[in-house]
Amino acid sequence: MLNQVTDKERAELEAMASKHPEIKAEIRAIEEVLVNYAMAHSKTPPKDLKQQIFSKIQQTQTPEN
Amino acid sequence: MQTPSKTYSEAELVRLLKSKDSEGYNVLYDNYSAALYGIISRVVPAEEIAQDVLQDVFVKIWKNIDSYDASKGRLFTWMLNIARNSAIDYSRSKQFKMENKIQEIENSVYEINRHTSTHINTDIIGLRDQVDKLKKEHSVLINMIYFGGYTQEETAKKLKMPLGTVKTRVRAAIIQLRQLIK
Repeated sequence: MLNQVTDKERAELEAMASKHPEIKAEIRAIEEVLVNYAMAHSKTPPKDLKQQIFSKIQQTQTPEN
Repeated sequence: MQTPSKTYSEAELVRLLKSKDSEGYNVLYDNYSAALYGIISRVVPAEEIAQDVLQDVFVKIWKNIDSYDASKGRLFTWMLNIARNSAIDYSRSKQFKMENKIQEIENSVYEINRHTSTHINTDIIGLRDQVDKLKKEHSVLINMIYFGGYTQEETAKKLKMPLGTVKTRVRAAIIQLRQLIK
């Protein structure tokens, strides 16, 4: 949800959230709705995709560690 | 959602992911790939493309996990945003716009079918049933903003609606969704 806003608005929102627990709670509650929404609309990817993704990740160089 | 062989708290999982532990990514995939794939598929319905986007999303998670800050929100929210943004970026690309034309035609067919009740596309209804429980004026906005990646300003312009009305309705829609999805 937080990326429906501009960077400036987000910074203001985060600053307010850190000062006001009720605003933080509200943001979390909205995010929770979207999380539940995503869970409710889960779609299992094809079985072989996991292996593909893992070999792709292994090829990917870790930027720095 | 599959049950992982071992249960980790979110903090433990994040620690594994940050140390690039393959068990962490295994658990992550088993627990969250379906939810991420579901969100991607809402934005990018073509399965082959949705799978490419999901692959991208996992590579991005792997590369950027160090920038995840638990004090700013849940891991899942962070991943959902990556998934949604990746899908939206893709949907704005040229290639997708052509494919999307076909999808729009299919969607309008679906709309017609829904109104005439001659044919029910259970798959689409399955995906959209929660949003469809909202009032039409609200579900349009959630679909555009959350799944279409439009900003509230763009949505207002496109629907020729005052921005204030869009904001009020989005808020009302989220409150309703919160009650519908428990």
